[in-house]
Amino acid sequence: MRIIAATGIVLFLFVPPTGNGQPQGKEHVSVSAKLSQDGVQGGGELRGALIMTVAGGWHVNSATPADENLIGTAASFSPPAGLSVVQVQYPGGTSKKFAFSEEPVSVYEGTVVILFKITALPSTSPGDYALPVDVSYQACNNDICLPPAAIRAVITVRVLSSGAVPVHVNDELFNGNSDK
Amino acid sequence: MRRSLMFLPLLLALFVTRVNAQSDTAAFRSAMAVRQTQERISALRQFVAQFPQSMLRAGGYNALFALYVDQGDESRALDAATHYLGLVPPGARMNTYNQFAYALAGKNIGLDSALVYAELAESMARGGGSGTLGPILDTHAFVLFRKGDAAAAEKLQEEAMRGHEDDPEYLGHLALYQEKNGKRRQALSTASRAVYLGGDREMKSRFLEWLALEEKGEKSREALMQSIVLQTVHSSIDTLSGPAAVAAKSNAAAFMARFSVDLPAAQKYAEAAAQSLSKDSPVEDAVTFRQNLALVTAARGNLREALEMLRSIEDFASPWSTDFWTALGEIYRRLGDPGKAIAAYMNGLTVLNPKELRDSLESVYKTVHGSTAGLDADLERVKESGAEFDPGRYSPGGPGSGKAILAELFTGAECGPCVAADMAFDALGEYFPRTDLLMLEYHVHIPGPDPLTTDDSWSRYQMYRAGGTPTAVIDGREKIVGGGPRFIAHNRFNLYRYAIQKYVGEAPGMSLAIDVARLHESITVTARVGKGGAGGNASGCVLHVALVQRSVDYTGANGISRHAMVVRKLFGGPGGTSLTNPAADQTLRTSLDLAEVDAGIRDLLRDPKGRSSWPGPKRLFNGWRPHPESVDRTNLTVVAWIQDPATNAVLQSAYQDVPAGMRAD
Repeated sequence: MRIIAATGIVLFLFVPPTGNGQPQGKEHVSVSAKLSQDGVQGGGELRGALIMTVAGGWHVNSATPADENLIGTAASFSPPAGLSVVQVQYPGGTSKKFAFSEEPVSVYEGTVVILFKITALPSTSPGDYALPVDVSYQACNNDICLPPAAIRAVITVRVLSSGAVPVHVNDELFNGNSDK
Repeated sequence: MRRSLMFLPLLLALFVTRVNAQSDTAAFRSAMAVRQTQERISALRQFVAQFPQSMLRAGGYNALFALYVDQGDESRALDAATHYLGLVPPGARMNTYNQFAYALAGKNIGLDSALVYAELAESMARGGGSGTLGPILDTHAFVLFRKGDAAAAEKLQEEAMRGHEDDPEYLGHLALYQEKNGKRRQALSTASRAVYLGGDREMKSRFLEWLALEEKGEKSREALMQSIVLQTVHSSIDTLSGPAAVAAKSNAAAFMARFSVDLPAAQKYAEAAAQSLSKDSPVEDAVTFRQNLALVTAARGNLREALEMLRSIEDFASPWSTDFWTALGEIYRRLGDPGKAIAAYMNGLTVLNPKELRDSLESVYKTVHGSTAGLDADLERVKESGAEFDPGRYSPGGPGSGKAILAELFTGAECGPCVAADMAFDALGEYFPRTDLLMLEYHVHIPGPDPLTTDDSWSRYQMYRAGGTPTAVIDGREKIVGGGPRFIAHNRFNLYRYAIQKYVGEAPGMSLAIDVARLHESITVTARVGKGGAGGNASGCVLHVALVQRSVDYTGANGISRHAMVVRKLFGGPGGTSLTNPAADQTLRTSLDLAEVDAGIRDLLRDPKGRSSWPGPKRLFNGWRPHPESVDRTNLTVVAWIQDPATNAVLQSAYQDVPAGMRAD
């Protein structure tokens, strides 16, 4: 079975301007974040990805569970003044039938990537800005369900001074994205 | 059994009616529910064509891919994969590439595409940082191996192993590549460790096959096997101490038994573990240690003795334990009782479908019935017997001690795995008289909103640090986490009963008698507390009193429509009433008003997100299913118990049904 294991528990994640951060998570799920550039100019935009890893044997509901009473995975951003987050794209879930379910459930297993775009207002001053994001989810395995939980990650977005050119990073992740 | 499971088609119909009878969701769910493979494929194809804008199309293509791979239909599988990937943003494809690559390689089809997918996944993972690379490399290595490049596979697998050194699947793959590359001794050591860590029977077969190739002579082959197996054992247990060492030696004993290596030492390890068991040992340890001792005993040729050991724990053995059911079936088979062998194998196939167990079953079934024509129907009957069973009646076999055990269950109407636990609690209620066992079910919002939840229930959940739903707590002392589908209700019942019976017959830590009076909407409970047979000390202990509805009709996603012994309110809140005078008998009085209980329920239903029982403030809430908004005055019971907050042990419990009369005593 190709399941990607979760890693250690850290309380906060700061994604540095280089665009890389170590995964952090609670119990059976971890989240890390990546950015497409090491910075953004005022008035510009860059892309980001939340990489959510679910431990082997566990699943979380996808962002669009078929049953509205199930708790879907959601990323909730709290951008500081001068930044905004738009176009949050969730992957489609895998439909899977479990021992306890008569019907398939739309879930995420292994690693999934949630994409988003960050825009900086033209008036945003150069500097590093903390962009908190809460990824909420609810996990079950074949014989137990856990309470809904959320992992907070804090992404550092660097707004560049005028004339500075942002450097593309994490091309493997963002290359080929239609809105690049 | 009192509790009834609504048939899911009905539940689905209700849901669909509530949302939209013609929605893509309904169409998708309906297509996925088709049982016959070819018909499901047709339904899914129709769904993706009919709803070109639906977000669920990705799920449709994903399901089609899996079905086509299963059929070995390479071109259709790849076509479905292409469609699926077209619906997934490029940056979100890593896991999909990985899953597709592994599925194709596993079936040995579409290997060129599998390699492309594996390379793409690896490329994304290397850019994606730690935590994701191991499984991606493991898949890539497996694809390379399937394509005939074992050298590259081994090299890549060594990198994949970082952080996965104890994963039997990774070890199994590495052993495969090592052997193919002519490093058979290394492969044998790796395979031995894979088996020790829980690798499948195929791994053991490979180990024996390679051993036979490495050493032709019987004696030298035996010597080599002993050396490798013991090296694996000692490298795993020598550094451990305390309870961890006891458990590890028990597992090592079972491992040694599998290869018939140094069985006297294995017996010693297994016996030591079994002898370490006490009344306070978790039931899971009791089952595992005895199971491992039985495996060693069987390996030593004492089949009847081993059979007795396995039978002594058969009722409690996990349906997920392939080892147990394989061993039991194998012993019956060797003792010439194929009928019981079939039953044992089938019990191991109720929730899982391990190939080796299915093969063993088919082989014996064919011997008995001439073919496997009726096997699946028989298997369904075995599954049903795990859901529909007569729990019987408890027979104490002597005068009771006067102790009433308290069994508490944390459950949720949206929780699929809670079905078996809920049904098992119903059966406990039939099996034990209320003088011996009192039950409470606390509903919590796990995994979804449950209108039977109360803030008090959530406080109890947190107090016990319950591990999710379902979690049962027996007399405050033993926590049993986990449940499963309805087919394992009988197993859960047996497990809970085993844990309960450990405490039945104990002298109560304190004495407790309650008197319940009702005047209109007011319920008053008078509790008389005194020292019990065990000479309990009241100081520091807490009296808890619960208002319980014996039966509540409500249907959540798990299909259970009637819930038993639901806690609606704790008198005086979750903190209860502290007992302060250890020297004297005490009389305590507590009361509540049913109209206020109803008002509290309605408050919670109106704004569940504003309550302490709502886990996670950012959770969306999409409204309730049809639900009761008040307590039913006609089927109320009061359950009281004294609990030591330091240990959580329950010293005594008592109950009384709430009278329907209008006069106070």
